Formats: sequence, C-alpha cells, structure tokens
Amino acid sequence: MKFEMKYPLFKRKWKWIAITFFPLPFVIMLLSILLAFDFPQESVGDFFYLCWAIGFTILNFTEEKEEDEMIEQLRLKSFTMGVFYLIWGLTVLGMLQFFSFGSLFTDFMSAYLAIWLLNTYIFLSFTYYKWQNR
Amino acid sequence: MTNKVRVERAVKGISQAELAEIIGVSRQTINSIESNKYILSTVLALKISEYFCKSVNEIFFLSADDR
Repeated sequence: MKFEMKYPLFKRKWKWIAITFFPLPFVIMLLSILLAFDFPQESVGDFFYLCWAIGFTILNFTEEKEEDEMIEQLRLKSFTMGVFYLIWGLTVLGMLQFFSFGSLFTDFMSAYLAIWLLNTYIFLSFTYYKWQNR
Repeated sequence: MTNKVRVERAVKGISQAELAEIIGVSRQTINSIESNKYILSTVLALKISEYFCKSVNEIFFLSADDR
C-alpha cells in the first residue's frame, strides 16, 4: 500500500545538481575576471538571482527520501506560505525602494529576483515544517 | 483531533517504524500523528483502524478545539 504521488517530482539525485547552481555565479564571475571576459555589469544581479532561482526551484521539486501524504501536505503548505511571504517581502522591498529612490520601478526589482525569493521562501518554509514534524 | 495510536501500537507491541512500513508512510508521519502534530487523511485513519481491528471512532477522537 505505497503512497502514490499525484504530481511529477525530480529524482533524489537532482538535489546535487541543484546545489551546484548556488556557487555557479561566483565561479563564472571569477572566471570572467580571470579570463578578462566583459560580463555586462547591469546583468550581474539578475545572473545571481537566476542561478539561485533555478537551484531552489529544483530543490523544491525534488522528491524526499520518503514521500507520503504528510510530506505532500507540508509541501502544499510551504508553497502557500512561500507566496504569502513573497507578497509581503516584495511589498517591503517596494516601499524601501520608493522611499529611497522615489520610484517603484528600478533595476533592482526584477522577475528573477521575485522567482528566487519565492523559491527561497518555499524552501525555508518546507524545511521548517519538516523540522517541526521530524 | 486526538488519537490512541500510541496506545494501540503498544498493545500490539510494534514500533513506529514497523507500523509505518505496514501502513505505507514514513516513521516521521506516524510520530507526528501520535503527537497530534499532523491531522491525517480519512484514508490513512481507515488503514490504521483496519490494522488494529477497531473502528475509526475507537482510535481517533475530536478534541475540544474541534467542537
């Protein structure tokens, strides 16, 4: 009577692929300096956000050692909380930007930042809920 | 919701890991159910009560907060 997942998840080995995305931007930046490659300065922030967003997205969609209905419920709960924290996080960031630069639309805010923050909040919520139910 | 899973398990003399294996969930899930941290599904409640040869009402109860 094994629990059947209703949505596809990455296999466990994908966790290690996800982890490689976290130091990747630092390595590429270092290489670009060493090889004198002119990395566009305005894209550095977005490149970091993109790599980390990919890393956290893969981690969030990688199966646990034992998948069952509790893990499924914790995952659902963490996705809900991730969206909740993202809304508040972006509101605070937007306000800080508005009061600092006088505009809501600056280069700092980007889609990659939002995707990275969303997946980070989901990952942290899921880790916390698993710790609570350990 | 509260439950008597820990008591029933002790009567039967099986560990959390063994019950988890029989029911098809992780040991952490059984621990969370026993500690009332996780409200399980009806299907899982039926599986557990069936294993202990009891009705769901004999193992799972509504707590004061649920009323």
